[in-house]
Amino acid sequence: MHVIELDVRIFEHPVPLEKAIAAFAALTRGEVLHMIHRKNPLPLFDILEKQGGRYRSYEDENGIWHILIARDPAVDLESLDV
Amino acid sequence: MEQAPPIGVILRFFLTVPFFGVLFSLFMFYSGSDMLVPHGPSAAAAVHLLFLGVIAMAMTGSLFQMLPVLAGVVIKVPTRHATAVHLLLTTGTMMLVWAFISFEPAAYALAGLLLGSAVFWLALLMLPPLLRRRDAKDTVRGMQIALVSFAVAVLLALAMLYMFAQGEMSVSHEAIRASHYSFALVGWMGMLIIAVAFQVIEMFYVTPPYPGFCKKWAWAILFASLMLKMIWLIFSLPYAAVFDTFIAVTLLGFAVITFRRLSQRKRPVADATVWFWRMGMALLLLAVLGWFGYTVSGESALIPMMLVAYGGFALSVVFGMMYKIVPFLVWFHLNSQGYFDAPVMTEIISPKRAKLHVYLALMSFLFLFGSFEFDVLLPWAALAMLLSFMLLGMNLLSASNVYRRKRKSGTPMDLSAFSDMSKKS
Repeated sequence: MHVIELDVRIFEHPVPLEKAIAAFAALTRGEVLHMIHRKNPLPLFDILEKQGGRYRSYEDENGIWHILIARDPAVDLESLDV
Repeated sequence: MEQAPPIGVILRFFLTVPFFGVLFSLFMFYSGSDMLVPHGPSAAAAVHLLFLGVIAMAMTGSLFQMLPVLAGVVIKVPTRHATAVHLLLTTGTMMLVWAFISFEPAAYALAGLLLGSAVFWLALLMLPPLLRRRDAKDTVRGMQIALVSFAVAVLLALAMLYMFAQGEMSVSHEAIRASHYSFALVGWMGMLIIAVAFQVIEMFYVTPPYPGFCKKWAWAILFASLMLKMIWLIFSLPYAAVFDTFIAVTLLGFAVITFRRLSQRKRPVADATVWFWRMGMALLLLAVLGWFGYTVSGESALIPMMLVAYGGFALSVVFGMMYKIVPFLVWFHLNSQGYFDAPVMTEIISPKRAKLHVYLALMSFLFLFGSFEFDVLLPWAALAMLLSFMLLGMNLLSASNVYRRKRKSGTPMDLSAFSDMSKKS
């Protein structure tokens, strides 16, 4: 499994969403996008769900959000440790 | 998580904003300096064209969009509700303006019916799910209070419209009027802007968050002050101005902290929306300083200046928010339908045309302030305002055309092939 890191913390809205969607559309089999964000990007999840994507998001102890995104149905996001 | 309402739900409110803005500008031409006479019918008509037709219209559209995202509140059948609220708000505002111009009792009654229905429809639709949020704080609490304040402002307005329609004034008329505009200007508009700012300034512009005490107490201080002021005024108790002082200090603190936050951005590239927020905060400071000046000196000429500055504050923030929300909506809805080659958000409304709007809005406010001293500047203020709203209309229409064209001629990217391939292997 190949994890692609996308840290968007320094970017102002709307750049994080645009970067995430471009990276999502380019994902291939076995690839996972690890987005690091200041917020939990709810609108992004709407787009992902409508386009057959899957995601898992959680907030770490420093208040940073980690969003794992995959298109490949074989990828198990729950067991991924990043 | 089907959160987002259809794009048409929000655009119908936003596209009505320039329509009322143009009417407001033409009204400035027509009524001239009559519009700046406090308590006069022209001032009442102009104030309601601006605060209901323009600002409340934009805020209502924004609430339909923001409640799901910021407060996790999903509105079922949003198109049906938006159609009803939009229709009632639009016709009610026009009827109210007509009532102020014509003094027709039936027009007052009809305006009350239409506007009352619009606001109570909105409150009944949005308040119960907002109140069910047990973890409500900061932004959600501010939105609750803003909607409650809107409903209180309208109840007080209905009492006044009833008196106008009857042709007689109650002894409490002045107390009701002062409470009405306090709840409308501070409780509804001010509170909603503050609540939204707590979320979006940090989120959109990458700033440190507002201080915790500010988020925790701003809504409580404002709402308690508004309620106590109303009680004090209705029972003619002394020192009601104390509550205005609490309100003024809270608004002053909000403006100063927002300025500070905007200067603490990590990537200080200022687009039109940042300038609109800055202009809004400068006008809010001016409004509050005007109030302090009036309280100390008793100079009544400061009253219309305060109102103009406060209207400019709300208007600037509304413009700034619209230039963020509309490109986002177009981009979001196209992407969620699979049009991944849709223009990026900065291409949906040209940054140059948005900047031009900043200059026109600034000119209109400067001319308007200048007209307090020199009447001849008022038509120039009206012209700058007219051009500002026409440009806004063009910018919004061109954004909605981007959406329509892409839907018509583009082909959604087929991402399902990827999943199918994986299933087969």
